[in-house]
Amino acid sequence: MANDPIHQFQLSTIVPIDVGGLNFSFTNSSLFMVATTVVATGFLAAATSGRGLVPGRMQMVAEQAYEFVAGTLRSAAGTEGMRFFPMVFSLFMFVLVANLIGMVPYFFTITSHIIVTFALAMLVIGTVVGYGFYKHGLHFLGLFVPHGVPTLLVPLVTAIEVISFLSRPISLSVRLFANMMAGHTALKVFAGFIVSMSAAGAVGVAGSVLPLLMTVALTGLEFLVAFLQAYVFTVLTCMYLNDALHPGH
Amino acid sequence: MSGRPAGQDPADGSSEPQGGTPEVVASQAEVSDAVLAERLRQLSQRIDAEKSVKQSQTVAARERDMTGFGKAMRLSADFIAGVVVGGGLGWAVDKWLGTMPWGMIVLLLLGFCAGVLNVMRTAGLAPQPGETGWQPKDGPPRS
Repeated sequence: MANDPIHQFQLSTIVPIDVGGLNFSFTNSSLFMVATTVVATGFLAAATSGRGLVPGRMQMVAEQAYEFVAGTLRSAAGTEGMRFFPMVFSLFMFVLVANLIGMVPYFFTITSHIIVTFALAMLVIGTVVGYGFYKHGLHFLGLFVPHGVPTLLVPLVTAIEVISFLSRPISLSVRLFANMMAGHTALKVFAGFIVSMSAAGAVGVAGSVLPLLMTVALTGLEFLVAFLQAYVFTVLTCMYLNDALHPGH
Repeated sequence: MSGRPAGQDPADGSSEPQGGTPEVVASQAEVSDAVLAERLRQLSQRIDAEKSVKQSQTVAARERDMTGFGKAMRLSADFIAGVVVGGGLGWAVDKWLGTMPWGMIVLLLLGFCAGVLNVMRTAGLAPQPGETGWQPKDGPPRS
Protein backbone atom coordinates (compact mmCIF):
# COMPACT_ATOMS: atom_id res chain seq x y z
CA MET A 1 0.00 0.00 0.00
CA ALA A 2 2.78 2.43 0.85
CA ASN A 3 4.22 1.87 -2.60
CA ASP A 4 0.96 1.98 -4.53
CA PRO A 5 1.07 5.14 -6.65
CA ILE A 6 -2.68 5.05 -7.25
CA HIS A 7 -3.64 4.83 -3.59
CA GLN A 8 -3.51 8.60 -3.19
CA PHE A 9 -6.53 8.98 -5.49
CA GLN A 10 -8.82 6.63 -3.56
CA LEU A 11 -11.96 8.05 -2.06
CA SER A 12 -12.82 7.25 1.52
CA THR A 13 -16.13 8.00 3.18
CA ILE A 14 -15.94 10.24 6.22
CA VAL A 15 -19.64 10.81 6.97
CA PRO A 16 -21.96 8.33 5.22
CA ILE A 17 -25.07 10.06 3.88
CA ASP A 18 -27.68 8.11 1.97
CA VAL A 19 -30.63 9.87 0.33
CA GLY A 20 -33.17 7.59 -1.34
CA GLY A 21 -30.62 4.94 -2.26
CA LEU A 22 -28.18 7.51 -3.67
CA ASN A 23 -24.79 7.90 -2.13
CA PHE A 24 -24.29 11.50 -0.98
CA SER A 25 -21.55 10.64 1.50
CA PHE A 26 -19.13 13.27 2.68
CA THR A 27 -15.81 11.88 1.42
CA ASN A 28 -12.19 12.99 1.71
CA SER A 29 -12.74 14.65 -1.69
CA SER A 30 -15.64 16.69 -0.27
CA LEU A 31 -13.50 17.59 2.74
CA PHE A 32 -10.77 18.99 0.52
CA MET A 33 -13.28 20.87 -1.63
CA VAL A 34 -14.53 22.55 1.52
CA ALA A 35 -10.92 23.16 2.56
CA THR A 36 -10.15 24.69 -0.85
CA THR A 37 -13.11 27.05 -0.63
CA VAL A 38 -12.29 28.00 2.94
CA VAL A 39 -8.60 28.60 2.18
CA ALA A 40 -9.29 30.63 -0.98
CA THR A 41 -12.00 32.74 0.66
CA GLY A 42 -10.06 33.13 3.89
CA PHE A 43 -6.90 34.16 2.08
CA LEU A 44 -8.64 36.77 -0.05
CA ALA A 45 -10.62 38.10 2.91
CA ALA A 46 -7.48 38.35 5.04
CA ALA A 47 -5.46 39.85 2.19
CA THR A 48 -7.95 42.59 1.41
CA SER A 49 -8.97 43.37 5.01
CA GLY A 50 -6.19 45.97 5.38
CA ARG A 51 -7.15 47.83 2.17
CA GLY A 52 -3.87 49.69 2.26
CA LEU A 53 -3.15 52.24 -0.42
CA VAL A 54 0.34 50.78 -0.43
CA PRO A 55 -0.37 47.04 -0.45
CA GLY A 56 1.35 44.63 1.88
CA ARG A 57 2.60 41.25 0.69
CA MET A 58 -0.72 39.40 0.99
CA GLN A 59 -2.69 42.23 -0.57
CA MET A 60 -0.13 42.33 -3.37
CA VAL A 61 -0.77 38.66 -4.16
CA ALA A 62 -4.54 39.15 -4.09
CA GLU A 63 -4.27 42.23 -6.34
CA GLN A 64 -2.00 40.39 -8.75
CA ALA A 65 -4.50 37.53 -8.97
CA TYR A 66 -7.27 40.04 -9.68
CA GLU A 67 -5.24 41.94 -12.27
CA PHE A 68 -4.17 38.73 -13.95
CA VAL A 69 -7.66 37.25 -14.29
CA ALA A 70 -9.16 40.60 -15.30
CA GLY A 71 -6.47 41.10 -17.95
CA THR A 72 -6.95 37.60 -19.34
CA LEU A 73 -10.72 38.02 -19.49
CA ARG A 74 -10.52 41.49 -21.08
CA SER A 75 -8.07 40.41 -23.75
CA ALA A 76 -10.03 37.26 -24.64
CA ALA A 77 -13.65 38.38 -24.36
CA GLY A 78 -13.49 42.19 -24.44
CA THR A 79 -14.85 44.61 -21.86
CA GLU A 80 -18.33 43.02 -21.93
CA GLY A 81 -16.67 39.83 -20.74
CA MET A 82 -16.11 41.50 -17.38
CA ARG A 83 -19.69 40.63 -16.38
CA PHE A 84 -18.43 37.06 -16.05
CA PHE A 85 -15.51 38.15 -13.92
CA PRO A 86 -16.89 36.80 -10.60
CA MET A 87 -17.36 33.35 -12.11
CA VAL A 88 -13.99 33.26 -13.88
CA PHE A 89 -12.13 34.54 -10.83
CA SER A 90 -13.85 31.98 -8.58
CA LEU A 91 -12.97 29.18 -10.99
CA PHE A 92 -9.35 30.33 -11.21
CA MET A 93 -8.94 30.58 -7.44
CA PHE A 94 -10.69 27.25 -6.86
CA VAL A 95 -8.55 25.35 -9.36
CA LEU A 96 -5.33 27.07 -8.28
CA VAL A 97 -5.88 26.55 -4.55
CA ALA A 98 -7.06 22.96 -5.12
CA ASN A 99 -3.90 22.22 -7.13
CA LEU A 100 -1.67 23.82 -4.52
CA ILE A 101 -3.36 22.08 -1.59
CA GLY A 102 -2.83 18.82 -3.45
CA MET A 103 0.92 19.45 -3.32
CA VAL A 104 0.98 19.09 0.47
CA PRO A 105 2.04 15.51 1.37
CA TYR A 106 -0.86 13.25 2.44
CA PHE A 107 -3.39 15.73 1.10
CA PHE A 108 -5.97 14.80 -1.49
CA THR A 109 -5.88 16.45 -4.93
CA ILE A 110 -9.49 17.01 -5.95
CA THR A 111 -8.56 18.15 -9.48
CA SER A 112 -7.04 14.70 -10.14
CA HIS A 113 -10.57 13.28 -10.39
CA ILE A 114 -12.13 13.72 -13.81
CA ILE A 115 -15.64 14.07 -12.44
CA VAL A 116 -14.61 17.18 -10.51
CA THR A 117 -12.91 18.83 -13.49
CA PHE A 118 -15.77 17.74 -15.75
CA ALA A 119 -18.28 19.39 -13.42
CA LEU A 120 -16.22 22.61 -13.57
CA ALA A 121 -16.05 22.38 -17.38
CA MET A 122 -19.81 21.77 -17.63
CA LEU A 123 -20.37 24.86 -15.50
CA VAL A 124 -18.40 26.87 -18.05
CA ILE A 125 -20.05 25.35 -21.13
CA GLY A 126 -23.48 25.56 -19.50
CA THR A 127 -22.90 29.27 -18.93
CA VAL A 128 -21.73 29.73 -22.54
CA VAL A 129 -24.77 27.95 -24.00
CA GLY A 130 -27.26 29.50 -21.57
CA TYR A 131 -25.97 33.05 -21.97
CA GLY A 132 -25.52 32.63 -25.73
CA PHE A 133 -29.17 31.67 -26.23
CA TYR A 134 -30.37 34.29 -23.71
CA LYS A 135 -28.43 37.09 -25.42
CA HIS A 136 -28.60 36.14 -29.10
CA GLY A 137 -31.51 33.69 -29.30
CA LEU A 138 -31.31 31.36 -32.26
CA HIS A 139 -28.64 33.59 -33.79
CA PHE A 140 -26.27 31.83 -31.37
CA LEU A 141 -26.58 28.72 -33.57
CA GLY A 142 -24.83 30.72 -36.31
CA LEU A 143 -21.67 29.79 -34.42
CA PHE A 144 -21.96 26.34 -35.96
CA VAL A 145 -22.44 27.45 -39.58
CA PRO A 146 -19.18 28.84 -40.97
CA HIS A 147 -19.18 31.52 -43.65
CA GLY A 148 -18.12 30.91 -47.21
CA VAL A 149 -18.76 27.16 -47.29
CA PRO A 150 -20.41 25.61 -50.40
CA THR A 151 -24.11 24.87 -49.73
CA LEU A 152 -23.60 21.18 -50.35
CA LEU A 153 -21.03 20.94 -47.56
CA VAL A 154 -22.93 23.00 -44.96
CA PRO A 155 -24.64 20.01 -43.21
CA LEU A 156 -21.36 18.11 -42.97
CA VAL A 157 -19.34 21.09 -41.72
CA THR A 158 -22.10 21.99 -39.26
CA ALA A 159 -22.05 18.45 -37.85
CA ILE A 160 -18.28 18.66 -37.43
CA GLU A 161 -18.58 22.07 -35.75
CA VAL A 162 -21.23 20.76 -33.35
CA ILE A 163 -19.06 17.79 -32.38
CA SER A 164 -16.09 20.13 -32.01
CA PHE A 165 -18.16 22.32 -29.69
CA LEU A 166 -19.38 19.33 -27.66
CA SER A 167 -15.80 18.12 -27.29
CA ARG A 168 -14.80 21.33 -25.50
CA PRO A 169 -15.92 20.36 -22.00
CA ILE A 170 -14.20 16.99 -22.48
CA SER A 171 -10.87 18.46 -23.56
CA LEU A 172 -11.11 21.19 -20.91
CA SER A 173 -11.66 18.66 -18.12
CA VAL A 174 -9.32 15.97 -19.47
CA ARG A 175 -6.45 18.45 -19.72
CA LEU A 176 -6.63 19.52 -16.08
CA PHE A 177 -7.34 16.04 -14.73
CA ALA A 178 -4.66 14.30 -16.82
CA ASN A 179 -1.97 16.81 -15.87
CA MET A 180 -2.69 16.56 -12.16
CA MET A 181 -3.07 12.79 -12.08
CA ALA A 182 -0.03 12.05 -14.26
CA GLY A 183 2.16 14.42 -12.27
CA HIS A 184 1.14 13.07 -8.87
CA THR A 185 1.48 9.47 -10.02
CA ALA A 186 4.98 10.09 -11.42
CA LEU A 187 5.96 11.82 -8.19
CA LYS A 188 4.75 8.86 -6.15
CA VAL A 189 6.43 6.30 -8.42
CA PHE A 190 9.83 7.98 -8.11
CA ALA A 191 9.39 8.42 -4.36
CA GLY A 192 8.55 4.70 -4.18
CA PHE A 193 11.82 3.86 -5.98
CA ILE A 194 13.77 5.48 -3.15
CA VAL A 195 12.19 3.16 -0.59
CA SER A 196 12.55 -0.04 -2.62
CA MET A 197 16.13 0.75 -3.66
CA SER A 198 17.33 1.56 -0.16
CA ALA A 199 15.99 -1.84 0.95
CA ALA A 200 18.63 -3.45 -1.35
CA GLY A 201 21.69 -2.80 0.82
CA ALA A 202 24.45 -0.20 0.71
CA VAL A 203 24.61 -0.01 -3.11
CA GLY A 204 20.89 0.54 -3.21
CA VAL A 205 21.06 3.33 -0.63
CA ALA A 206 23.79 5.03 -2.67
CA GLY A 207 21.79 4.56 -5.89
CA SER A 208 18.58 5.85 -4.35
CA VAL A 209 20.06 9.36 -4.53
CA LEU A 210 19.08 9.42 -8.22
CA PRO A 211 15.31 8.94 -7.74
CA LEU A 212 15.50 11.33 -4.79
CA LEU A 213 16.89 14.04 -7.09
CA MET A 214 14.19 13.20 -9.61
CA THR A 215 11.51 13.51 -6.92
CA VAL A 216 12.81 16.93 -5.91
CA ALA A 217 12.84 18.08 -9.53
CA LEU A 218 9.36 16.68 -10.15
CA THR A 219 8.02 18.48 -7.08
CA GLY A 220 9.19 21.76 -8.56
CA LEU A 221 7.65 20.85 -11.91
CA GLU A 222 4.38 19.97 -10.20
CA PHE A 223 4.17 23.42 -8.62
CA LEU A 224 4.67 24.90 -12.08
CA VAL A 225 1.97 22.61 -13.50
CA ALA A 226 -0.40 23.60 -10.67
CA PHE A 227 -0.15 27.25 -11.71
CA LEU A 228 -0.04 26.56 -15.44
CA GLN A 229 -3.14 24.39 -15.46
CA ALA A 230 -5.15 26.90 -13.44
CA TYR A 231 -4.03 29.51 -15.98
CA VAL A 232 -4.90 27.34 -18.98
CA PHE A 233 -8.32 26.55 -17.52
CA THR A 234 -8.95 30.28 -17.06
CA VAL A 235 -7.75 31.24 -20.55
CA LEU A 236 -9.93 28.60 -22.21
CA THR A 237 -12.92 29.62 -20.09
CA CYS A 238 -12.45 33.19 -21.31
CA MET A 239 -12.17 32.05 -24.94
CA TYR A 240 -15.38 30.02 -24.70
CA LEU A 241 -17.20 32.90 -22.99
CA ASN A 242 -16.11 35.07 -25.92
CA ASP A 243 -18.12 32.77 -28.20
CA ALA A 244 -21.21 33.34 -26.07
CA LEU A 245 -20.72 37.11 -26.20
CA HIS A 246 -19.82 37.40 -29.90
CA PRO A 247 -21.04 34.30 -31.76
CA GLY A 248 -20.68 36.02 -35.14
CA HIS A 249 -17.67 38.21 -34.26
CA MET B 1 -2.20 92.66 -21.59
CA SER B 2 -2.22 96.29 -22.76
CA GLY B 3 -0.88 95.32 -26.18
CA ARG B 4 -3.78 92.99 -26.97
CA PRO B 5 -7.10 94.32 -28.33
CA ALA B 6 -9.93 94.53 -25.84
CA GLY B 7 -12.33 91.60 -25.88
CA GLN B 8 -9.82 89.07 -27.20
CA ASP B 9 -9.13 87.91 -23.72
CA PRO B 10 -12.19 86.15 -22.35
CA ALA B 11 -11.35 87.25 -18.81
CA ASP B 12 -11.64 90.90 -19.90
CA GLY B 13 -14.81 90.35 -21.93
CA SER B 14 -17.18 90.80 -19.03
CA SER B 15 -15.52 93.98 -17.75
CA GLU B 16 -15.74 95.68 -21.20
CA PRO B 17 -19.31 95.53 -22.46
CA GLN B 18 -18.73 97.67 -25.59
CA GLY B 19 -17.45 96.55 -29.03
CA GLY B 20 -19.10 93.36 -30.38
CA THR B 21 -18.31 91.15 -27.46
CA PRO B 22 -20.99 88.52 -28.28
CA GLU B 23 -19.44 87.52 -31.64
CA VAL B 24 -15.98 87.42 -30.18
CA VAL B 25 -17.12 85.22 -27.33
CA ALA B 26 -18.98 82.99 -29.78
CA SER B 27 -15.90 82.59 -32.03
CA GLN B 28 -13.83 81.94 -28.93
CA ALA B 29 -16.22 79.18 -27.93
CA GLU B 30 -16.10 77.77 -31.46
CA VAL B 31 -12.33 77.73 -31.45
CA SER B 32 -12.16 76.04 -28.10
CA ASP B 33 -14.78 73.51 -29.28
CA ALA B 34 -12.63 72.70 -32.31
CA VAL B 35 -9.55 72.46 -30.13
CA LEU B 36 -11.37 70.22 -27.70
CA ALA B 37 -12.64 67.99 -30.53
CA GLU B 38 -9.12 67.74 -31.88
CA ARG B 39 -7.80 66.82 -28.45
CA LEU B 40 -10.54 64.24 -27.99
CA ARG B 41 -9.70 62.70 -31.36
CA GLN B 42 -6.02 62.51 -30.50
CA LEU B 43 -6.82 60.99 -27.14
CA SER B 44 -9.04 58.29 -28.63
CA GLN B 45 -6.34 57.59 -31.22
CA ARG B 46 -3.78 57.16 -28.45
CA ILE B 47 -6.15 54.89 -26.51
CA ASP B 48 -6.81 52.79 -29.61
CA ALA B 49 -3.10 52.47 -30.32
CA GLU B 50 -2.42 51.44 -26.74
CA LYS B 51 -5.28 48.94 -26.82
CA SER B 52 -4.05 47.27 -30.02
CA VAL B 53 -0.53 47.06 -28.60
CA LYS B 54 -1.92 45.46 -25.44
CA GLN B 55 -3.98 43.02 -27.52
CA SER B 56 -1.04 41.89 -29.62
CA GLN B 57 1.12 41.62 -26.51
CA THR B 58 -1.34 39.31 -24.77
CA VAL B 59 -1.69 37.14 -27.87
CA ALA B 60 2.09 36.87 -28.14
CA ALA B 61 2.34 36.11 -24.42
CA ARG B 62 -0.25 33.37 -24.73
CA GLU B 63 1.73 31.69 -27.48
CA ARG B 64 4.98 32.03 -25.60
CA ASP B 65 3.49 30.52 -22.44
CA MET B 66 2.81 27.22 -24.14
CA THR B 67 5.74 24.99 -23.24
CA GLY B 68 6.47 21.86 -25.25
CA PHE B 69 4.86 19.54 -22.72
CA GLY B 70 1.87 21.81 -22.26
CA LYS B 71 1.38 22.03 -25.99
CA ALA B 72 1.53 18.24 -26.39
CA MET B 73 -1.00 17.78 -23.59
CA ARG B 74 -3.32 20.39 -25.04
CA LEU B 75 -3.21 19.17 -28.62
CA SER B 76 -3.68 15.51 -27.70
CA ALA B 77 -6.53 16.32 -25.31
CA ASP B 78 -8.23 18.32 -28.07
CA PHE B 79 -7.90 15.51 -30.59
CA ILE B 80 -8.99 12.74 -28.23
CA ALA B 81 -11.97 14.78 -27.06
CA GLY B 82 -13.23 15.10 -30.64
CA VAL B 83 -12.97 11.37 -31.30
CA VAL B 84 -14.51 10.44 -27.93
CA VAL B 85 -17.48 12.78 -28.38
CA GLY B 86 -18.04 11.55 -31.94
CA GLY B 87 -17.90 7.92 -30.85
CA GLY B 88 -20.13 8.56 -27.85
CA LEU B 89 -22.73 10.35 -29.94
CA GLY B 90 -22.66 7.54 -32.50
CA TRP B 91 -23.16 4.96 -29.77
CA ALA B 92 -26.07 6.93 -28.30
CA VAL B 93 -27.72 7.38 -31.71
CA ASP B 94 -27.38 3.65 -32.42
CA LYS B 95 -28.85 2.83 -29.02
CA TRP B 96 -31.88 5.07 -29.54
CA LEU B 97 -32.60 4.49 -33.20
CA GLY B 98 -31.39 0.89 -33.49
CA THR B 99 -29.24 1.66 -36.54
CA MET B 100 -26.56 -0.59 -35.17
CA PRO B 101 -23.24 0.00 -36.89
CA TRP B 102 -24.01 3.07 -39.01
CA GLY B 103 -24.40 5.85 -36.49
CA MET B 104 -21.17 4.84 -34.81
CA ILE B 105 -19.28 4.61 -38.12
CA VAL B 106 -20.47 7.97 -39.45
CA LEU B 107 -20.21 9.91 -36.19
CA LEU B 108 -16.85 8.41 -35.27
CA LEU B 109 -15.46 9.64 -38.59
CA LEU B 110 -17.06 13.05 -38.04
CA GLY B 111 -15.57 13.05 -34.55
CA PHE B 112 -12.19 12.34 -36.08
CA CYS B 113 -12.66 15.39 -38.33
CA ALA B 114 -13.74 17.47 -35.32
CA GLY B 115 -10.63 16.33 -33.45
CA VAL B 116 -8.39 17.42 -36.32
CA LEU B 117 -10.27 20.73 -36.47
CA ASN B 118 -9.77 21.22 -32.70
CA VAL B 119 -6.05 20.58 -33.04
CA MET B 120 -5.72 22.97 -35.98
CA ARG B 121 -7.60 25.65 -34.05
CA THR B 122 -5.46 25.21 -30.97
CA ALA B 123 -2.33 25.40 -33.12
CA GLY B 124 -3.65 28.55 -34.78
CA LEU B 125 -3.86 26.95 -38.23
CA ALA B 126 -7.62 27.32 -38.61
CA PRO B 127 -10.05 30.14 -37.73
CA GLN B 128 -12.07 30.03 -34.50
CA PRO B 129 -15.80 29.33 -34.96
CA GLY B 130 -17.61 32.33 -36.43
CA GLU B 131 -14.38 34.22 -37.05
CA THR B 132 -14.32 36.28 -40.24
CA GLY B 133 -11.41 37.82 -42.08
CA TRP B 134 -9.01 35.22 -40.76
CA GLN B 135 -5.57 35.04 -42.32
CA PRO B 136 -3.44 31.89 -42.09
CA LYS B 137 -0.10 32.34 -40.42
CA ASP B 138 2.95 31.89 -42.59
CA GLY B 139 3.99 28.61 -41.06
CA PRO B 140 3.39 26.35 -38.10
CA PRO B 141 3.49 28.05 -34.65
CA ARG B 142 6.75 28.30 -32.81
CA SER B 143 7.48 25.41 -30.50
